[in-house]
Amino acid sequence: MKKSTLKILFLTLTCVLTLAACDDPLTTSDTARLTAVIIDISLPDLPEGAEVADERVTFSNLNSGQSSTFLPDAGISVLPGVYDVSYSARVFTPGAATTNLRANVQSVSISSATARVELNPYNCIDSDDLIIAEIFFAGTLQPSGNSYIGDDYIKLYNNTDHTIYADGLTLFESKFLTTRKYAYSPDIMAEAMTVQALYTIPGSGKDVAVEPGEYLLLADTGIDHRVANPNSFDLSGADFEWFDQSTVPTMLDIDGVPANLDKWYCYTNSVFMLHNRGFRAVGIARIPVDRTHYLENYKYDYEYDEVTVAGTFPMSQSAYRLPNEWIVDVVNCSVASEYAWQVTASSLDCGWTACGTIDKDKTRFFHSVRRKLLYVAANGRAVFADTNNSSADFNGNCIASEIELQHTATDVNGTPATSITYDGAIPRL
Amino acid sequence: MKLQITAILFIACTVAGVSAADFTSVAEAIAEEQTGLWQLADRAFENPAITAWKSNLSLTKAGADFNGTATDNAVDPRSGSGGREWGLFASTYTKYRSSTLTGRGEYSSGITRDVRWNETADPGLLYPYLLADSAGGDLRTENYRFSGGYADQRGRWVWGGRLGYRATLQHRAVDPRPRNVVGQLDISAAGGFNFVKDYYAVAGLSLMKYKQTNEVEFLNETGVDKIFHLTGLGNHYSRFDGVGLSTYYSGFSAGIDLYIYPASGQGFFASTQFKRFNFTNVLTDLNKLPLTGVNHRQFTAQTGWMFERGALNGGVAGDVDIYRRHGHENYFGDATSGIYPLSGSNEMYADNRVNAGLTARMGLKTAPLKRIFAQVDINWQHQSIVYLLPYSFMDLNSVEPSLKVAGVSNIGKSWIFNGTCSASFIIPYDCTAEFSNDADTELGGLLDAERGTFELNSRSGSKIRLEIGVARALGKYALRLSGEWQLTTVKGVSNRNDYAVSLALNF
Repeated sequence: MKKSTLKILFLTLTCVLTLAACDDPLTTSDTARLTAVIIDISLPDLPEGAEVADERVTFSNLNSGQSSTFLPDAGISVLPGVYDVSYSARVFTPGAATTNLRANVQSVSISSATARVELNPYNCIDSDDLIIAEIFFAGTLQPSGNSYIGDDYIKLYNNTDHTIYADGLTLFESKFLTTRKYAYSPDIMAEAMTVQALYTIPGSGKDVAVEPGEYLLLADTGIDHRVANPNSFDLSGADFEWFDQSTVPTMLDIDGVPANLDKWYCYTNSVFMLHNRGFRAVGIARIPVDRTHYLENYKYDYEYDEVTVAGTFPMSQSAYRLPNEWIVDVVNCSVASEYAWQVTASSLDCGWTACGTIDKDKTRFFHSVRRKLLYVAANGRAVFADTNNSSADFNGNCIASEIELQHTATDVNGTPATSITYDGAIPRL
Repeated sequence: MKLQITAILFIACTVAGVSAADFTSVAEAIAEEQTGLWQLADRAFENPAITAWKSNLSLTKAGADFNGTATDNAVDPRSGSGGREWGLFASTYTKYRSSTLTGRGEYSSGITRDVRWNETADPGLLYPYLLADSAGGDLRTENYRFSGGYADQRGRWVWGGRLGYRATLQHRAVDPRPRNVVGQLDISAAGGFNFVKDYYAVAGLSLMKYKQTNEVEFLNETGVDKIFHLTGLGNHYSRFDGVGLSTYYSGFSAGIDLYIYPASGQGFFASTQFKRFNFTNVLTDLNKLPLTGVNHRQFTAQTGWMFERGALNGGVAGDVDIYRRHGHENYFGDATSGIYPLSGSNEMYADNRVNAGLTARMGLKTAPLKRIFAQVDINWQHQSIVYLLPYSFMDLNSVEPSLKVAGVSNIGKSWIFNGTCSASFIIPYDCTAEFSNDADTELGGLLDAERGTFELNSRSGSKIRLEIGVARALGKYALRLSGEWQLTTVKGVSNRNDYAVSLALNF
């Protein structure tokens, strides 16, 4: 017995000591768990005498959603993982306006003992054209709780100090979803965007003047929606509406008072409406060729693989490409839970904005994405942020501006809006 | 459900037919179950071969029970604010010559009120990787449990085996509508030999296979609530918030154990058990994305000495329970065509605990049905829970002394009473915590739950438990009614009442 008991005791002791010697609580000071990251920054050609300052590199961990900001020349160590890495800096040029440098790389996998991240910053220069101030894609709810369609709209804004003519400006929606990434081939994103709907503001070039600080309202259906849905609002005063001659008899499109946009192309044979949950990019462009020429020469045929549990299926589709240099402004929209990628080049928009945080988010109704106010000039003109980064430039989940202005419903119960804001956050005095 | 209840009643009636004894024998078996000295070496009886020495008397039960919980302050909403459950059961411990047959069949159905930040069944087993949302609501649960065991002795050798299966269904009838289905299969086998006097050395092997599938549905056509994949101490896997409403947990456990036990129930005893449990949490609707996993290693040991000298009996025991529970999170590259390539894995969560206890017991047995004992326990526990980034931790230390008095007595030839009274005091010390995920306003309720858990474990408190049972002879059977009540008070935090009532035919 004595011998066996000793064996048992020995075994017990061994187990206790083995367990006790195992790794102990994790700590952030445990540098062995971190990966050193080397940042390679290739600056673009800058004017002579230009000085780059305020450089920052931000690592956003996709798992945890946590962000950490570093100086690029400081020792950077992060936990292994997948990160979105962004770079920002200011460029001071003697005798010229201060500009911003920005770079953005997505889904960088950092897993080895050391990692290298290459950043190619570009200089952000104002486009001197209209900007998208607001996108209301979510729509409203009827008192019954059912969703209502047709009251979506987009507001353009003259953020400059001079008159801009909107004639010929084309509203477009991306073909690709920000929530579903495929390896499209050929990959043209560095040169062009893939679009599925194009509607152009009619005019000869000097017909649609937008004064500094003024909006241009583009509506889906320019009628008083309160007739059909007491929780909606009046869009009969919109400047333009997009109109579709539907081939589906049951899909009746109501041609209200506002003038129609010229339909260049739309993917659907029924009526076009913005993606109700905001899974696409919406933008405006100045296309320097006529409609016929564009439709004949800018078709984009692409292929990709649909990988499912049942197997991999090669797919091929067609859309239209819009060269990046024609694009005046574009806003990527998505939701946090579904977001997969940017459907634009980073130089056009390196962020994204949202209403709601998940697919079918019930909080999105009555809300829009609105561009952030930078300041109000002495003449009362609001100046909005425009850094080609929708994450930074937009307030998501805002009460739509038309709801605020018309004091209509902010929820399914018909609770009226009481305040008016510049950007969904800062109240108008 | 009807089928299962019928099966339980059929088993009960069949066993009743073959094992019916006289009331005296049944009463002695009840007394042994309630106050037997074997309780001091309770860990040893997890082994299917040693089960044979728990008692020399057969006891079979069939009945119904009801239990409930109520608290005046549900500081951890993951456990709900209270609930109730009823059930039917049949169990047997039957001796026949050198063999021992054990079995249990059970059905229970209940509701847990206002559960939030947890949509997963068995949260204690699967923490920290729970499916959760802020809305929550009442959860209805049904359990089906069946187990059977057999032990036998041939010469110097003993052996035994046990097989058990549990199925749990959990659901809610309003949004969010989780439907959790649990299947758990337990198998254990053991064998040993008599190496000196009546001492046996027994070795055992236990295996467990666990699977839980979760489907969360929303029927509200205008929208859904956000589903989170929690990662511990108020953190979550933010990349897949709102997706992965269809998930499963797949786990496997293996354990080995060694025992020295005296067949007479008197003398030195020792047991060691080592168990490893691993599970992974997979998002089914993202092409079976393996999101997280846990590696749980547990070591338990118990040793002591028991004696019976005339009317006196008693003993001392010491035990230790150590576990290390480490969780890892996988990370993935960009999805292409809905497939996320696995890039790597980080160990992000650790829960390490040490628990040690000493027990001393002294009893008096003046007749087979007149027994009383008093037991003093003292337990020390240290637990350290850490989440790596954002760095969060919870350090808990406590000492818990307790006193228990229990007794059994017959009144006349037709009645037998038993009662237990115990009180313990929880004395925490050096408890600290930090929760760093404050910036995530969506998770305010979850952080409150974590803080609530810390409050519950870092404040002094007490437990008072009363149990009373009465059995009446019905021919050779005994109809037994028993009730339990426990009040757990955590100073300045909450008062929780647990109660249970059971009515069973014993034979």
